[in-house]
Amino acid sequence: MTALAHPPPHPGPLGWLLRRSGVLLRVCGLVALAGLGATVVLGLWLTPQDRVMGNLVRLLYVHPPVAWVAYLAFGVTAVASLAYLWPRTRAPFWDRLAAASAEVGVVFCALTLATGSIWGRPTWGVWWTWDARLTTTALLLALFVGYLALRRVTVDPDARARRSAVAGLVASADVPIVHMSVLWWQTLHQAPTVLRPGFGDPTLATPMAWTLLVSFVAFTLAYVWLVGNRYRLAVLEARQEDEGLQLAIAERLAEAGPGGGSRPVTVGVS
Amino acid sequence: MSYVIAGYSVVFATLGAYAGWMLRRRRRLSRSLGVGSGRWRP
Repeated sequence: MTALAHPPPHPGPLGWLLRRSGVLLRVCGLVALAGLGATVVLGLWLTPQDRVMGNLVRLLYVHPPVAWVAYLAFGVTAVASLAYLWPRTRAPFWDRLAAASAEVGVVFCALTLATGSIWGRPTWGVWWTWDARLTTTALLLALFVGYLALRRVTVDPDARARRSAVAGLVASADVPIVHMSVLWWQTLHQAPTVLRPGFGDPTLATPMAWTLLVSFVAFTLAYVWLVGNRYRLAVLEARQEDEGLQLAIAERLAEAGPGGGSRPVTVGVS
Repeated sequence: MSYVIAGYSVVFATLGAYAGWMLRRRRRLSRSLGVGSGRWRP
């Protein structure tokens, strides 16, 4: 029996998932695209206006789903960071997943603030106010921008992964504070409509609730697609980093003289 | 309705731009490293 030249780096269900990630991501991307198209059609044309808010209610189909994805992304970063810090599960996979999810989360968090601001102007009369929900969300965005900056300043892959995992966990602690801020403090922002304690009581008309459901599913699938592709990009970036390092070491050894150039150069893929 | 259109436009334009940037960068890196899309290895 011969051993595999390149054994799969992730055995078990995770390895299976990663090996089939190309097909799964393609399917996920197509379903997400169809779902986002359906959200636009349902949200802009087919759902009714609100008695109080009029057409502004149509922002309901983008603002809460985008905020939910930001929560989800930062939650995934926290779980992946914890898995990286845990000695039994430590693997570059968790570090890359945490980074990919944080970057996508930053995009969605910025969109949450932008759509909230667009909704706030006609409803509250201001683009921005130092309300507890808005302020904690802005803080969340700043924390994760800091997390991404930290990833860029550290060169050593192990140190970077460890420091980032701690930073990711600390930053994620703001997610429950953002969510509960409307219940803990008096705010201009309304209390949660969907993700609230006592979820059973419906507060939305049926067509609106269905459109919101389609939108939540579509944005969640879009998140999966974006994180999957960002993860693959991170793998390529790591390979490029290693190739650059190999080249630099080879050049230094060549400069050192004929004896130095014969030494083997080995750089492990992080 | 203009606020609604602005909200939808910001969301979809941003996501489209981000996805486009990511795919372009991935393609460029794959080409420079000599990795075909069919040779994806996690």
